[in-house]
Amino acid sequence: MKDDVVIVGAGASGAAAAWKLASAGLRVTCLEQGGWVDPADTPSLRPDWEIARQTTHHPNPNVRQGPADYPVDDSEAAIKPFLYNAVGGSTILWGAHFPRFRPSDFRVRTLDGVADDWPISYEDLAPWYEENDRIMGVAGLSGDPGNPPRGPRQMPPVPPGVAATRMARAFDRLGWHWWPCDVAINTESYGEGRGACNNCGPCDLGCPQGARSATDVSYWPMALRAGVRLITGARVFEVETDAQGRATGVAYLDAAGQVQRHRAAVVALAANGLGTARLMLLSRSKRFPEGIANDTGLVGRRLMHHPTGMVTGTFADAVEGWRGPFAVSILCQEFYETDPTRDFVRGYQMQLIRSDGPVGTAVGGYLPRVPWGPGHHARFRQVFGHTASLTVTTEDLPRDDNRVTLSATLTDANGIPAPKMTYSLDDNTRRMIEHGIARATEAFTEAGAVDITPQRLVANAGFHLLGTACMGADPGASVVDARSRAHAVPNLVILDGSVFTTAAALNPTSTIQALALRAADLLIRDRKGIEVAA
Amino acid sequence: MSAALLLDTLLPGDEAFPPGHVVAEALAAHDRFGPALERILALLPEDFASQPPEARVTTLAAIEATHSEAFSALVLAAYSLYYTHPKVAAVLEASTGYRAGPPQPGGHALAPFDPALLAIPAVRAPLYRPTPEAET
Ligand SMILES: Cc1cc2nc3c(=O)[nH]c(=O)nc-3n(C[C@H](O)[C@H](O)[C@H](O)COP(=O)(O)OP(=O)(O)OC[C@H]3O[C@@H](n4cnc5c(N)ncnc54)[C@H](O)[C@@H]3O)c2cc1C
Repeated sequence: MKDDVVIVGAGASGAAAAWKLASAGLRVTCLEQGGWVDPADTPSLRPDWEIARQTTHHPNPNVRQGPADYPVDDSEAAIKPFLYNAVGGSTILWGAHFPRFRPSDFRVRTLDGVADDWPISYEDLAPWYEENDRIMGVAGLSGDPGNPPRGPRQMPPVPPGVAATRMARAFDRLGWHWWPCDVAINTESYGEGRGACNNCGPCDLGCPQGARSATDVSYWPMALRAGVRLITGARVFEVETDAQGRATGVAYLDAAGQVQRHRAAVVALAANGLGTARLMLLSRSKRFPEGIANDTGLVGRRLMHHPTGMVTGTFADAVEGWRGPFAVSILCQEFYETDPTRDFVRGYQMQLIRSDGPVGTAVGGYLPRVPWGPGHHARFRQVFGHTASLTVTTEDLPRDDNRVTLSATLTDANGIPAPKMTYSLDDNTRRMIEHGIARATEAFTEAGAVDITPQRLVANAGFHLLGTACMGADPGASVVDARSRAHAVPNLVILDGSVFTTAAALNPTSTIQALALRAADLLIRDRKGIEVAA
Repeated sequence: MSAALLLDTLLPGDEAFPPGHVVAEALAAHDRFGPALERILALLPEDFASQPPEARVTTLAAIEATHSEAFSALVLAAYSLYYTHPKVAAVLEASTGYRAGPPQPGGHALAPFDPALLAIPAVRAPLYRPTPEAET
């Protein structure tokens, strides 16, 4: 019997939608190219955990080269791709910083005359943000004047630690906004069998406490109970269509490398902004010679990241930045909205990052690598455990020439063309980063840092892959409609960050998941009327 | 021999930290990192071992300038093994208060969040921008 929905990708968005659809009684299969990651196998239980970070657990698939990974041609990309391929998707490695977009993020054309408005508003999405928060479990505090009111957070915020407390006081003296981050990390037991954070630090290596809410431990147990059939080791290489261009299902290679076909009334793509664009471009047919639902040529275009500058302050005393979830404590949104007195449009957030372990400190990241040779040990002592960093996470406006295409030369282990990212920064972004570097420097100076080091662009920060199948009301200028359904293929739904019309300047996953839940609810509502293949 | 000297030039050691050669064997045998060492060893001049220490620094700086990617790979490899070596971990623990070894399952105490910290930001006026929807 044919499924109601087949979902490609079991990450942040695929898991959320799978649970919702199956809970409404739909027959759902999810195909995932990776396997399960056992939280008890995390390298943070081993002495070589920092080596794993540089090798087997590196966020860049080109460095990691795991069996489920596909290579990415990033030779023409100023920002390198970071993602993970497994049940849980990139949330297996994520930092769990969980902000919502602001209302203005959905209205940049109306408010600022740039890019495009989303066809939905913050208010439209708000109920699904709330639902997703409840399932992921959010530690934080409502009452942030930087954002619209929201329901009580499920748990109290993570403690900020020495450096963030110091920076918070500096922000106060400067009269700038700051607030404890919303984070998808348990500060108390929450969810099914998920314990509280024990402040260990490297969330990116996995969490044996289950405190960090990756979707393998939050949504997936519920989704499986609701009846979702999850097939791992399944690499989808085509969305198949009938002569009218309606989706009939997908073709994939199973774990043994055999071609399989899976038919469904609705095909939903949740392979992230890179993987979904790749799959759509791979899915060529007579009706769609340039890739499925690509009548406009927009599939793969408008690739957005969050180009990030970084400023690191070194304090004379130790701030023990190795304690606590590395990516989250407080954020500052003082410079988030457009200000006509500045030389750029839109804005940025500053997110406080704690510091690193000894290997991370020595090889560099937040600071340049500690130089080898005679001065090495003295410099290491100066910086290890003495630093904190502020990101300058900017809004990236969409451009057609920033894009995902299929590589002409590179293929994955199955011979399927790899995606190629072509990406550069525009002048608006560069000016925004400069502004942010100056402000972050001011904040560290106010906080008493003895040394302040800026990075103008963190190349290793391609965590947020967005916009490659953009949402819009106009079928001639967008790929999906306000319900996340392809304009050109009525039974093709896109669940991941590909649909972002614009990127905001905030970590996207709570928005990706809220959109996926909304798309699923609208599918449940409309399913009798959706035109499907015979 | 050259590997040990090469590593000692990168990480000379001091009164507390051991010299880099403590990781020479592990580096040569490492499946991911070993090739990085081999590549740079192959670029060393024949007289590297007999050069005085300052000259070795100059030699390596010249290799770094011409083969920056390969050299960076070696530095990454050497630092990764060095800073996870038990002798180095012991120095870190003794001198910095850092607890070397796996972060889990021990972790660190999770102090409660102190809401008093928010006295100033909590009373600020809303600073997100109104949109047409919010006004209706
Ligand atoms: C190191 C790191 C830190 C991050 N930190 C944060 C953070 O703090 N806050 C935040 O908001 N976001 C963060 N992110 C980003 C976040 O993880 C992503 O936004 C989110 O996971 C995207 O969800 P998704 O469902 O679109 O894709 P993913 O979660 O990436 O899932 C996509 C899944 O699809 C599968 N797939 C792809 N192609 C195919 C195919 N052809 N066949 C079968 N399966 C396929 C993949 O294997 C993968 O499992 C971070 C990411 C990384 C890598």
